[in-house]
Parts: sequence; C-alpha cells; structure tokens
Amino acid sequence: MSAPLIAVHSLSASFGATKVLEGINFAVAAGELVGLVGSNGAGKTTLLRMMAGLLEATAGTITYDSLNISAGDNQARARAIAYLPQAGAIHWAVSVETLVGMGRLPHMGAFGTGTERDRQAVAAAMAACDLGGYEGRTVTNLSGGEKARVLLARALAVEPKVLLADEPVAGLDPAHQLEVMQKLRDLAHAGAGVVAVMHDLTHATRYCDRVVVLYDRSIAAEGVPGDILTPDVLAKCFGVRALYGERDGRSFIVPVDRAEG
Amino acid sequence: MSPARLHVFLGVMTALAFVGSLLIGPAAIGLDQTISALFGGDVGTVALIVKEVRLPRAILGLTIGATLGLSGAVLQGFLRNPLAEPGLIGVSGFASLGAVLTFYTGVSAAFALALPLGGIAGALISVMLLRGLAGRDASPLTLILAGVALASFAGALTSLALNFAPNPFAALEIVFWLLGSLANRSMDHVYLAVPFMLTGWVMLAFLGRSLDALTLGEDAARSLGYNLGRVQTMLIIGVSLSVGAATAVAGAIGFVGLVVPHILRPYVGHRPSALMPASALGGAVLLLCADIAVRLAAPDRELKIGVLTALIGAPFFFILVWRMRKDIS
Repeated sequence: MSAPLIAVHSLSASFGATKVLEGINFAVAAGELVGLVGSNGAGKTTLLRMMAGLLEATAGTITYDSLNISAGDNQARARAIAYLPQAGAIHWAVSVETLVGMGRLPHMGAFGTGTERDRQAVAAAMAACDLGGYEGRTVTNLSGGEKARVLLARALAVEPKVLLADEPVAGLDPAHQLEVMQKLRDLAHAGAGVVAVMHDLTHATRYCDRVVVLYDRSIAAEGVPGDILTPDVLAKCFGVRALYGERDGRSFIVPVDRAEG
Repeated sequence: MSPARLHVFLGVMTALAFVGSLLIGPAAIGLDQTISALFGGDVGTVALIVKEVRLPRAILGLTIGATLGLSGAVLQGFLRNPLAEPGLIGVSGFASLGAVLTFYTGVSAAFALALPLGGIAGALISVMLLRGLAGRDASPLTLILAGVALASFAGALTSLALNFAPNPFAALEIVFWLLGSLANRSMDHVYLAVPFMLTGWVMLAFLGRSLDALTLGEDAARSLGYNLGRVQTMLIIGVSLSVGAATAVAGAIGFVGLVVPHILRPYVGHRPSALMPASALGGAVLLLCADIAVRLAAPDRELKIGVLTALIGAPFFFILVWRMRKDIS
C-alpha cells in the first residue's frame, strides 16, 4: 500500500464532558475506498469532520504527509480534500451548474470566474453523477435523490485527492445507490483516497476495499470487509443478526433480527 | 435578462437617476446650466445651488443607496436569511443613537461634524458589543439574536434620550433626524462619509466567493477553504463602516437593504456573489428615485425619505412573511 494521504494518530474527541472518540488510529491511502460503519452516535461523522479539518481534536494528531498541505493553508487543503456533509443543505435556489461549480472555488481567487479547465471539471463531475441535462435546473426544485447527486457532483468537481463522504447514498433510489457506490470505487481506483460513512453492509462488502467499524468511541474492527463483518462483530457493534450470502460472486449481508442482549 | 445585461441596465438607471437628482428641485435649473455650473467656473446662485445643494444630495443618495443595497445583499448571503438587513444586527440603531447623543448633549450645535462622527462611533461600538455578545465564531442565529437584542437596546436608549430631552425643540429635532433625510447635506458630509463607505465596500467586495460557498452550509464552506471567523470579521467591520457612515449623515433609512436584494435575486440566478454589485446599483437607483419623489411629492413640507422607504418597505415585508408562511405550510 502506498503512503497514507491522511493518517490519524491516537485521536480523541469530546463535546464538553462527553467523550466521542478515544485513541483512534486510522489512515487512508491513495487508491482505496474505505467504508466507515457503526451504529448511530458511534462517532463516524466526528471522525470524518476531523479528517476534513473542520473540528479540533482533544488529543492526538492528524497528518497529511503526502498531500503537501502546509499548516493553515486552507485553500490548499480545500483543493486536496473534498468533504461531502451528511444531508447537505442548499440555501439558495441556484442552478445545478452553479452549485456544482462551487466545487471549483478552491481553485479560484476571490474574484475568479473560472477557466476552461474549471468548466471541464464541472461537466465531468455532472456526467459522473448522471446529471446530463440538469445544468439549468433549479436545485431547490429537485427531489431528495437528485439533490444528493448534485451535492456529490459538487464534491467531485473539486477533483480532490481525498474525498470524505458522509452517507453519500442516503435517500437515493436503489439504482442510483449502486451507481454512486460504483462512482466512489472508480474514483478510488483512479488514485484518490475515499472514505465513506455508510450503513448498508452489503454496499460495504461489495464496494469497499477496507471497512472500519466504530463502536464505543473506538475502532472495534478494521480490514477486508469479508473478513471482519462477522456475526460476532455485527452482534457486538450493531446489535443485529444477519443473513450472509453470495450469488454469482456477489456477497450480501442482510440484517434480519436484533441480536439477543 | 442575463446577469451581465442586468448590471448594464442597472448601471444606466443609476446614471439617469443621478442626473435626475441633479436636475429636479424647487429651482428650475436646466441641463445646460447644470453642466456649466458643475464644470464651468460659475459663481452665481445657480452654481451655488447645483454644487452645494444638489450635488452633495445626489452623491449621498448614490453612495448611501449603494451601501444599503450592498450590505443587505451581503448580510442576507452570510446569514442565509432573506429577511436580514443592516438594521437587523443593530448597526443602524447604534449609529442613530450615537448621532442622537450629539444632539442631546448639544455638541452637534457647537461643532457640526460631531453628528456624523457620533454616528460612526455608535456603529463601531455596536460592532464591539456584537462581537463581545456573540463571540468570535458565532453562528448566524447567535449573531441575529445578539443583533436584535442590541437593536432593541439602542432603541430603548434613543427613547430615553427623547424622554429626557432638554426641551420640546430638541426632541423634535431628534425625531426628525431619526426619520432619515438627504436634504440640506453639504459637501462636508460627503467628504466625511464617503471614504468610510468606500472602505467598507472594498472589504465587503472580497466576501463574494465565501458567500457563494455558504450556500452549501458552514461545514461545506469551510471545507472549500473559507475561514468563516475571518469572513465574519470582515463582514461586520465592512458593514459597520459603510452603514455607520451612511446612517450618521442621513439618519435611519430602512428597508432598502431588505427590498433591493430580494427583488434582484432571481435575476442573478440567486447567486450571492452576483447579487452584491446588482444590489449596490439597485440600492442607488431606489434611493435616488425615492429622494426625487420626496422632492416632487411635497416640495414645501419635506417628506422624509426614511418615511417613504418604510412606507414602501413595510408592506413588502408583510408580503415576504406571508409567502414564507405559505411555503412552510
């Protein structure tokens, strides 16, 4: 594996007196899609926001060695790391093209209007998210799933070395869920590092190179999905029992019962 | 209409309104006389009226209108709230209070420039109080709440000054000043207020891109490289310099910062950065036209311009609230 793009060392986080994360060691390398799973409140979003530089750690460090970001250079960080918030808000009724174009802001100055290169990146990001023909549509008139794709396209338009996506397929129909997961995988295999928070364990198994399970403020399991998403881990970390299966080389995990306390 | 054509249209309208403001008044002075008064070496009554009465009034209409429109657009973009305007964060209220105190203490009678200086001082104090109350990394909601609290406090202190006014004439003077007007302003007012307004505009101009990014919410905006603490500092200083100076020389002129961005937003595709120059021009057009209207409507009694903008603006506010209510239900 190549050198990590982002490495997290003994990271702890708390909100007031509540500890959210404790002693987290984790890294994402170029070329891999890492699935971040865990029950609600396990600290997935907190970890992602810290890696994006949006939240200060209480203890521990985060290093960006192979991204060459000097401390305090927000714009360089913004060009290298794209962050896709969970259920991202859109506050004004701008066009789809304008919104996706906001992914190019880190590449422009305070008064820049965008170059041909920026327009190409926007067009490519829109095509990747199946948004052909949506250019002039108003974002506030789109369905939830369409908005989610527009917001993903906005993050892709950054052309980041690392994409940190918080539940990128939430609210999407099955076809677009598969498409977005495939897109994240393609992005990783084209050389980016991708970390995605997700809840669908079948997606985690099928698309992720590696899965990290957060439980009780720390990492409970980490590795190749097939190896670590075991019945024991599911029972302990998610409180569920699941059906495991495989057909035509495609594995799936379907939670079916709550595990006995 | 594309944003580029909108800007050209508003630019032409601003120029026409400015010329209109120079030409229209109780004394009938034609275009040729106005031009020769402005650019020739005339020293007669006509030249005096054009240069000392109408020119400062037109310049202040232009710059104060632009200040109110621009700062309304910036505040709405930053707070992501279409109901925001300069009065909301308490800047106008404290600027008014500062000016009123110079009336009340009689300093303005002894020293004319104390009035505008008092207004600017009030605006700066409001900024410091706002920062102290809301904190450095305040959320837009905290900022609005702190602003509303400050605006109410400024209103209470202004009422107190009125309550204890030394005599009815002083009280009347304060009330009239609070109504807002561009009448009887001299080039001294222009020299004192315009540099502050220009400085504020330059600071605000740099914020366009960060306001665009804020369309995606604070986390996404920060992930796009914007330091929102710094954006907020620039915004507060820029708004208070420009609005503080504007309020100091013209009194409280409300609703321009609310109405203008709201009307123009659809024409610039709702993009916050594109709305800024459009609202500055639109604010200038609106205030210049309103100022011409008050001269025509009641030449002998002087209808205050702040009264006119409130008469237009308040019903507009009702419509906005009504529409939002329908959107929610």
